[in-house]
Amino acid sequence: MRYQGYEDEQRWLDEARHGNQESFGRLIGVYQGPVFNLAYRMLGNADEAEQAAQEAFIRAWTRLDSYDPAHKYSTWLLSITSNYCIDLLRKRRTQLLSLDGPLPAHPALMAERSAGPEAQAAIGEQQEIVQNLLQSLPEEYRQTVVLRYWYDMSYDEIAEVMNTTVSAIKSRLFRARRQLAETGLEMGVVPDTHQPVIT
Amino acid sequence: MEHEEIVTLMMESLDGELPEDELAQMNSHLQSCPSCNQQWESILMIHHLFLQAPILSPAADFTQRTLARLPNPKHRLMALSAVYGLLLLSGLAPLILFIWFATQIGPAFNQPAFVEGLLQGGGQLLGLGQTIMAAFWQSLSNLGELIGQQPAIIGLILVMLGAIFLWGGVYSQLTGQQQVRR
Repeated sequence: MRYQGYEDEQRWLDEARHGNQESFGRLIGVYQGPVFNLAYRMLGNADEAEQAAQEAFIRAWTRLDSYDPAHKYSTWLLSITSNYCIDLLRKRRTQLLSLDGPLPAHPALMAERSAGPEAQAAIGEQQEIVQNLLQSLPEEYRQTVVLRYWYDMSYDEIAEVMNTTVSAIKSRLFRARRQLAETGLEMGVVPDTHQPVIT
Repeated sequence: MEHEEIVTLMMESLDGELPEDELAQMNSHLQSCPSCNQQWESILMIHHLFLQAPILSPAADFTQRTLARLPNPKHRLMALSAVYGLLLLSGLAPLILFIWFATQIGPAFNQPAFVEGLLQGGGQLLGLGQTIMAAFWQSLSNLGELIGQQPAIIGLILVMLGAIFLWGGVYSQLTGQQQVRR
């Protein structure tokens, strides 16, 4: 992830390490989108994603002393976010939850607000398909896919975030794409051109 | 070429890592294999769908709300200092009390009557403890005899224990659900 104000970011980090909350607020402003997006793609729920994003920033604030400037701040921050989301998903699996249907999209989510109503509806439908596809994946596959597609991370960077090897990441992405293709066919997202047309 | 090899080439193609000759091999296979072609179309469609999906953003006041939740380092330092202070006092206070006790009451230990009285008191306490333990074991023994005569009591005790665990489990699930819904 490229950021034009790299020097500003380093200065804010340094000030934040000395307890300057205003500087940390600037960092939140820069990274709130990527952090929230990652949480939402992982958790599939806007309210939970916002809570998770806040928690990720709080953890980053309390652990600033442990941040190694040799690594990208974005990678470190997204690592905290994704690990927290994975923990939440694992806890969710062990709890009894009410089996409500999927929640409607949060109004705070940025869609193409400048588009007309039909375009907005199409974008909303597309978002729903994307989320349904993501939710069909196991957590670790989902994490790999999100980091690859939304953050354009290299295999090395993803391996660093997920604390594993490059070959493991390649394998997960391979299986995830395969599973997504099968799910897409089952959901009817992808037309089944292999089926003969009955006339 | 095997289908599995083709799928591997598909993945490398998506990442832009496929040499020209292998790309040609893949395309050649896809033209003659409908199932691989279907799979490729599906993978490609989802690949593009994900590439087009935007990065979403939270509500406009997210930064302010997050900043409001950040722990204040000064408050944290004060809380830690208070805890350390209490720990220190909890260690010092007994020491001070002991020194005071030794200076105030210590001379009394030189009186033989006082020491004898202490020993007698200790002995009585020990005797009381022994009496309580003896009564406890006697009760258990009586209960054992009763169970031997009326085995149905075992069943009753098991049913009561089961009911306690069952209601305890239901209660914890109900309270856990309420917390999740919040």
